[in-house]
Amino acid sequence: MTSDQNLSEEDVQRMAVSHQQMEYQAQAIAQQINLVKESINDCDKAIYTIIGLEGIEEEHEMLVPIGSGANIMARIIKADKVIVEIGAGISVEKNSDEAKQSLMFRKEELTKFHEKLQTDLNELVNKIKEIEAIVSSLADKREQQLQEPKQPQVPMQGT
Amino acid sequence: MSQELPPQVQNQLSQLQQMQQQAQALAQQKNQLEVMLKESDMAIGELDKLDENTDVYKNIGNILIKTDKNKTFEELNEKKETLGLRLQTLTKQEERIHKRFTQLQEQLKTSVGSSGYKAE
Repeated sequence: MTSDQNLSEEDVQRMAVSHQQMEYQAQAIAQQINLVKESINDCDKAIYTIIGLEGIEEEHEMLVPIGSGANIMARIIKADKVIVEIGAGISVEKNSDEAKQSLMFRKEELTKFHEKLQTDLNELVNKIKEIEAIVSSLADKREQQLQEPKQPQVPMQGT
Repeated sequence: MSQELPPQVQNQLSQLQQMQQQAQALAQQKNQLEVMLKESDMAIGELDKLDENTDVYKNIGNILIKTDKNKTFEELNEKKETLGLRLQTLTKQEERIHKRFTQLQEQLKTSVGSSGYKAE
């Protein structure tokens, strides 16, 4: 970044524009991070559910949530099978182990993406802070200049 | 800003802004299509690995309907083809807008230069 000593008005304006753009970008990334976090939690929940269902026999009674804390009663038909989405609106039947593996793989991919987004966000925040520091020191200097009393011109007196 | 922009420059500026919005909307659509295409590709890859008699289900609204694996495979390939064509069209549209945007930007620079306008 340019030293604040040599900044022109145009440089400051340019920095203000890029500061605003970076803030929008940072907000978008932060939102994305939250969504990815939710998906990771969702994967965890599904994995725990599969583990919890291990050893349960067929015809076992269970409650299936239908939203708003309401449940319907159901019986497990295939205790060792899980239907997992593979994308594009298609789901396939997998056995518990395969389902767990595919969910764990999905979780790993999401975690990598989460880390990448977090790094991007940190970089952006650092850049934003850098601009803020330059503008703030520039503002301080200008204020100082304005506050400095102008030395009255005293006519030279001969002794 | 105390100095008002000449009408010609104002007109060019608003055209440029419109074009920028169009380009953004196109980029978003393209992005969505690319994600859908990638998802279809992944689903085809997954289906390919499955046994012939594995049960496959398809989303219809909020429910999942049992469907034939081979039929799903064909449908996904067709979907991929359609998405690919739509993506090509959008890419061409994007190129046209980008070209027009650059032209307009140059015109705007010339107009600003010749009108002697100077931002404060």
